[in-house]
Amino acid sequence: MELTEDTVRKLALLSRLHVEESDLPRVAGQLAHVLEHMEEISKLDLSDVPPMMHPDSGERPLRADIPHQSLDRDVALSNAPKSYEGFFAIPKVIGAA
Amino acid sequence: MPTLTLHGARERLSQGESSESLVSKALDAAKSSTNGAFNTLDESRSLDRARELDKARKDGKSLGPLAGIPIAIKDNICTEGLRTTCGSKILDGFKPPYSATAVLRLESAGAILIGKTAMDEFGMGSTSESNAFGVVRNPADPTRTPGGSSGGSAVSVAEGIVPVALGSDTGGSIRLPASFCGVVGLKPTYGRVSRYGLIAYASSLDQIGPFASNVSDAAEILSLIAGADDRDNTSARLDVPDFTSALDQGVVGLRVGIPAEYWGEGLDPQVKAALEDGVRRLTDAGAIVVPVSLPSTKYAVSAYYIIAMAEASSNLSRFDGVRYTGRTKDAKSLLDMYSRTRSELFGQEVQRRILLGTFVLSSGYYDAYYAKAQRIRELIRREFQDAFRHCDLLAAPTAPTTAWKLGEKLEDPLAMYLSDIDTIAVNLAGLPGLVVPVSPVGGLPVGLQLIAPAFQESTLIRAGRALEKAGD
Repeated sequence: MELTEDTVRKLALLSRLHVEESDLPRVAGQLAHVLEHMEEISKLDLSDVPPMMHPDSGERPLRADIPHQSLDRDVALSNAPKSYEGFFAIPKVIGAA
Repeated sequence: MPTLTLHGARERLSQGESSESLVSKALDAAKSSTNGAFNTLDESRSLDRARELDKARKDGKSLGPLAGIPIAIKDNICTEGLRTTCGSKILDGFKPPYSATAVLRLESAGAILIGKTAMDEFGMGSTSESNAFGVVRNPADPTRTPGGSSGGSAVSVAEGIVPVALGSDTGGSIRLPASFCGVVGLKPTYGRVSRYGLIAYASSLDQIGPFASNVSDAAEILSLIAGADDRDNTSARLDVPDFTSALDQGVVGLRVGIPAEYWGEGLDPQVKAALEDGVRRLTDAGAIVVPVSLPSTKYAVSAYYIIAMAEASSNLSRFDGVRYTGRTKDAKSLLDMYSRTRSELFGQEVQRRILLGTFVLSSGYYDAYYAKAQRIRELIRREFQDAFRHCDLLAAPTAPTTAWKLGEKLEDPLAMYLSDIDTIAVNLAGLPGLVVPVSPVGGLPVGLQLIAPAFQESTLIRAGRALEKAGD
């Protein structure tokens, strides 16, 4: 399994992780080492076996659609690193460089 | 080694010892231990609660079955107002706005939560070394790992700090530390216990379960935490039996399957002998051994890690520096804030699994990896079903060896993944598994793993108790 530095750069972007340029070869090597082992199953012909998404434990009833008290706004915001006037606050987006 | 049982704690209370004293001794034991079982202790609230219960007891009020008994909870299970970190810097300081259903059920039975136990970050590890707040050590030999990821919960019971603790098991995270620390660990059937309030790693595999120093206590805790929950739509809408009623049913005529693939290559000969001795205890008590085969076991590690990493990459996207405590100090833009927060505050193993999970779900690779893994999962489930046509439960190793030296598996992630071979298929198929200690090897604990068909925990408890009794 070969993983190019470009692929790792793309994966990092999709994963919202920051990988230093100088670290790309090391990360690529580690991921490739694991994927090499997993390749064993990519070669199997399992077209006659359906995929199992989930261990099925039977019915999935829907709850009655009755309004009820949910999480209080101040409580929901209490763990936020930054909040502002009842909202989660993030770095400036509009007009940002 | 375990010194505290539910029965023992109740005796002390009935002989006049206060709950405050019981809780205070548990807190002292936790503080004086050098094995790092706890990330957080809840001293003032647990002592307040103990005093309330002491007063209620004195006033003759009717009390729950766990009234005044100290317990510990793994640090990925939400506890209202009490720091819950998942062993990660990204959640350092996170105080959940609500408690998990399993926690509420134990608290309503009167249990007193003394603290949160150390674990591999987000459950991603088999050694508990990736806990961001300190390494956890095995009480039987502090140079060795207690196993992971619920290492702190296993140690809290093994050291006799608490009689019972909750852990979670995504690929063996209850069963492996139970085996390495010489305690009982029970991973219930997927859906048996509500996952509401369990911070998700891999949602189709995660399950909460108990650690205890004997099978009876594990059965009692399972009876309390199991059952349908409106807040978890994957919780099974099934009646919950009183699992303790299975304890003394014996194993006469019970068919114990021995899956060849688990007992062959790679299994340490001394560990194998200890486990075979455990199986012999069952046959001496009247069980019948049946050879069975689970041929797709060899693909379980690949299928498991693909699925677990894929689900993790999605589940952990919520930790973005916006809603939960941790955020990088110097971000140039919103995207930069997301990426730097996650890279600064997630550990190496978590980042590796997110990257790999993203890879197996990405276009061009999805069919070759993720879709293939789901088909292997189906094969594994079918093979278990076939095996259970010939037997009532399976007996297998929990790990091929005794506890590893600390640091031994950190350099090579793949080597750590491969060491999970004995526990992960059970999660893929959604089955229940129980680990019960057998004879130690070289002073280190070994646990035999019993596996039953879905929702047949009673069979496990029955066999586990017989195994334990024969070893007494």
